[in-house]
Amino acid sequence: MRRNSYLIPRRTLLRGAGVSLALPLLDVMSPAISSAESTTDAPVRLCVLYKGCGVNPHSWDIVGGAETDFELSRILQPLSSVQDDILVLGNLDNQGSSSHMDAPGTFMSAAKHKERNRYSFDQRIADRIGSETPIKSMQLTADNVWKQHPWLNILSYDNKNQPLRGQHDPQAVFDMMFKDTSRMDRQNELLSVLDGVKEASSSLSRKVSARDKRVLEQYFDSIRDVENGIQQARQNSRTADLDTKLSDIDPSLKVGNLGERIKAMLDLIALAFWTDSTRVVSCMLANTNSRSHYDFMGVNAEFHYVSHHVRNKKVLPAYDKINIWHTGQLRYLIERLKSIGDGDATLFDNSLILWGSGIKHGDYHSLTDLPLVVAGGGGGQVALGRHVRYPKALPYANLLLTLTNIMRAEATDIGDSTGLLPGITEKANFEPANPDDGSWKIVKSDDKTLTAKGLLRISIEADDVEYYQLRLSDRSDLEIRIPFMNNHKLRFDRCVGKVVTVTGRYKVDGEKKTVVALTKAELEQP
Amino acid sequence: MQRFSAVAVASILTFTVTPGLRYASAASFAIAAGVIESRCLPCHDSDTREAGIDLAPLLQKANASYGEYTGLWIKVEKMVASGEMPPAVEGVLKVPERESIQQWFRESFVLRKGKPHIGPTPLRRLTRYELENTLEDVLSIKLRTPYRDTISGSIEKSTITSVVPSDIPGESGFDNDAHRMESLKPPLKEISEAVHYGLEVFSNDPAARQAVLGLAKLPKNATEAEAKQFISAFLLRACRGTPGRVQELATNYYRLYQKHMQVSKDSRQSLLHVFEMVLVSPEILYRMEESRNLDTPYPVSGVELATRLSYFLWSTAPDDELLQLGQNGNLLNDDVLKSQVARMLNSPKRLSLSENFAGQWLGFDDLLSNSEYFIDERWNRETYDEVLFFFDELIKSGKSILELVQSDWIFRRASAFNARSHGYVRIEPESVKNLYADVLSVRQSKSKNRRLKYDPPVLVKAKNDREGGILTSAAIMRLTASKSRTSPIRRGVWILNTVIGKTLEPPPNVPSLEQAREALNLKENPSVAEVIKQHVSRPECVSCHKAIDPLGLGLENFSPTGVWRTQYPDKASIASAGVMPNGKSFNTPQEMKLLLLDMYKDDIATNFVKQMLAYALGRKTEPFDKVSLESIVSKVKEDGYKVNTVIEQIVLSQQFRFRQDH
Repeated sequence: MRRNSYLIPRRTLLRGAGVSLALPLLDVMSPAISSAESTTDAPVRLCVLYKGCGVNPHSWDIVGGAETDFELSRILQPLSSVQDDILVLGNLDNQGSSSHMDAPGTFMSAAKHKERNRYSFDQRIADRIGSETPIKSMQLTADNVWKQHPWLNILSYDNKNQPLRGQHDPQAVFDMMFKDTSRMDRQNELLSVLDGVKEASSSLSRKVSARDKRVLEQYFDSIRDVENGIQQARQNSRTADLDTKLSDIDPSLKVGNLGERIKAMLDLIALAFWTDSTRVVSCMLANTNSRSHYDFMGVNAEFHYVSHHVRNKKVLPAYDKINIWHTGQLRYLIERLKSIGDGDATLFDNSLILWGSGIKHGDYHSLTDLPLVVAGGGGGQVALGRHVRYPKALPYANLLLTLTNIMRAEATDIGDSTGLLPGITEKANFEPANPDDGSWKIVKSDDKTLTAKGLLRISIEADDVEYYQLRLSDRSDLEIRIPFMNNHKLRFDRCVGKVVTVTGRYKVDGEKKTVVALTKAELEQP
Repeated sequence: MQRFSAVAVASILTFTVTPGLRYASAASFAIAAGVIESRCLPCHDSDTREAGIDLAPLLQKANASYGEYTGLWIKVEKMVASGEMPPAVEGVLKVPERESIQQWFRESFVLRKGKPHIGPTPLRRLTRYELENTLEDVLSIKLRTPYRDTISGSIEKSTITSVVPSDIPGESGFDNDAHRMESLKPPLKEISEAVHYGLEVFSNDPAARQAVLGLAKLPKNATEAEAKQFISAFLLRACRGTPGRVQELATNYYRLYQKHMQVSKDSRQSLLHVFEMVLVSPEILYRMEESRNLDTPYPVSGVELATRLSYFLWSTAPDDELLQLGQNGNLLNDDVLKSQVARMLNSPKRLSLSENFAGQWLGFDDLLSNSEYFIDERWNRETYDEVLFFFDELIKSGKSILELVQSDWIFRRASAFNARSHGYVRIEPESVKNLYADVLSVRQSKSKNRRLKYDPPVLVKAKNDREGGILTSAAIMRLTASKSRTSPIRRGVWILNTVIGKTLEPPPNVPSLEQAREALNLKENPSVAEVIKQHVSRPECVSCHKAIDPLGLGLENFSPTGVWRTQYPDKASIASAGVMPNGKSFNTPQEMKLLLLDMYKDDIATNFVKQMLAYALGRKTEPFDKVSLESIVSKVKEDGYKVNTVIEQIVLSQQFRFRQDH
């Protein structure tokens, strides 16, 4: 019997000493040795990345600008280098439940209220295209898993509305793709074992109840899944040579902290797509009740705690910081996929990424205007480099329906969908909100006070978050830094994203004017 | 809560005197429906729906059976029984009114045709934990990773736990929940890899082959008789001993062995191949029982009972003695059954009750599996073991459930003894070591380097009134706090939910924007108590928070890692003080725990029985379990709340010994 790689006790370290190297073998994934066949009809891969706990809406929303000419918001800043590769969507509403437990499932199925945990859209797709790859679909969870509440981390639900648990251990994900069962000798052995089981158990003469017989069908279904997976693995386009190479590598996935685990999972997604091991992946980066500390990036508090940024004081900077970091992970995956060739294009061109959170406002758990980014060319079907804000709110389910169809798993409805979503495969050409009519300027000013009209935004600075900017027609920004009680009494924060006329005292530092106290803030009447 | 307990006692009495009662009669429905209509519907009809509850569907007789409205009926019965509804301002129910609803509930949901029953028995599948134990026992090998010297900075998972995904707990709260498992496909590919690995360990271990097949070395050219003998012996061991079925299977597997031999020409290889089939087969992974297709309870066979008992107490297959008593039917005798329970609880294998049942129920297994709780290898192991051995001591020495809250002994981590003046007095130091010999063998590292060596915790007398029970253990204090700060509410909710067994409704909707803004007007740096007071000032919050908050506040002297403290990091002083919902106040954690016992003793016992019954049966408890549940609870109370009495009474219950198909 072949010496099994598991006989070497594995050190799957929760916290490794020193520097950890996630998947050094990805070095072999250069376009030069890509084994994928050059085809005009390359398969499209779906990747859903869920980061829970919502956002601070003001930090997320893109304010002003046009569809293809827009400035990224504070949280979206990390995407500036890949701005041409993303599609930011606004004003899509979901319904159903936004509780900690239900938000991920609702995000994946757009299920109606009281119908939580329904057949998720990634599984609808996997049921159509999953039999073409060795692994029908992969579920990953990078966030910590609380044993008593594992469903917090569950995104995907099968066609019987049953939860599909995510793999948490990057090493196990790697093994699932490349160890033993990817080897011909072990495959044959396993097929023969399962054949034998079927034969020996066919005469279950014992008086098993009808109910128990139905349960046992799950067992035989599972045998069929394994057999199909092996069959697909044999037809997989990757060469036997590469197979051996991959299964011989011990990636020693030393995952020390949450940040490293997330990176390892994203590397594994790229690897899965590159080797065509699967075409459907969902990955939980952070659940909606995440008690994980982001201390590896200097935030010594629970993500969920800081996400309740209205009730809990002084947590907004930390909350934004985590969200900004998450956005950086999306950039990492985009860049990864762009660097890998796939036929005449790149893996990125042939992928479809949905990035988002099941709730918008971290404290109120709102389901309207969800924070969403689509990336990946979808095999040339998605028009990227745009910010689309729907003039009238549309069902978020329409997005899932549209993505499902892009994945060639034709569906007619999902959840409360009313039809396909415009503005995904083609330019939307909506009238821009808050158009600049040229009147945004300092209207009057003396040596102490000024009155100015403009579009109010919060600062996009990640390190200095606590001030506002009034965008003027000359594209300059007037800085507004006012004390908390001043802001509170004027309810000034409600003006963000709107055209407003402000009056107040200012200070000058060199050329730069900064408003330091406000007496009036008037919204433009619509 | 106290009221509930009083009613629980009352309902035991009514349950035991129901012979001859006509079941689910139209008359008793009409009375109950009349009470609901006149006393509940004014606030809970389809239009008013106070608190989102619409009771109008309960007026239809068809809805008083297991189905869509079961949950609602359970809620109504509970509210009515405890007297929580209707509220006092609306006038409490008169005794006959209350009894009419309870009577109807009992006829419809607790009894069937006027008789107690146990509901359909679900098919059990082995969990990952049980699979690992079963492979270890069937193959006579060790798969668990022994404790290494504490230098790696991590808790190492066993190969099986890194290959096979963990199971998702069901509504029972435990991962052996049959209803959850039967809705999911078994992860067969991963299970096959685990079995394959187990057989490799087996085939490299002469002692294992000797124990399983009576032969240290398998022959390359076995005769037909030898091969048949090996296969039968293996099946008898693996298939939990039904001789008839084994014979039938042996024929099948011998045929498969011959088929494989034609290719391999090596009987050693072919035998291992057949063993692999056996261990992956549904015969092993599922605990199948013979069905008589009845809708009334009937006793299971001796072997089936042996299997149920073994997986309940040991999380593994029955051993030879148990199997034999099952095969000859003696196990069906009450006294034999009781003596087997005693024997099994005397074996180190009972540790699975602490690891698997208590680990999941109290949630302390997260200390080993969730990296959010990882501090360092020694700390996590030690704090985990403190609770593990504490729970085991309750079983080993027949102690009371209530000692979970307060005891004058604890298990104290070995590293505490490194300090020169630790002041602890060991309890029976030698005998403990002997009793735990097997258990400790995997928990003691063999390093000669004292600094690296891991020793398990030690049974000691509690040194002062800060210690005792598990509520103040480092493990529980860590699990109920964030890494950076304690949260009295989180701790209070944990005690209420987990220990007392009170299911809390989720809090009313998050405050509106305006209310939240008001809340922001709090002063700059409010104290923890002030914040909580602000939080619960609204009437819809008070009803739950008056029970939650004192429990958590009473533990504020314990830091997120369970270290005693008198100041917060910002130097503000700490008082573990508060007022319990019954108006009694406390000033120390110890006083809080005593009041907790005073108030909730019976709820804690009832919850413990409920949890353990759910674990034993592999399903959440249902209204039809009420009769057994209440009888077990009353016996446990009579017998000093002993954990062992709970175990014995569960094993003796109809739920555990009987089967029902519909």
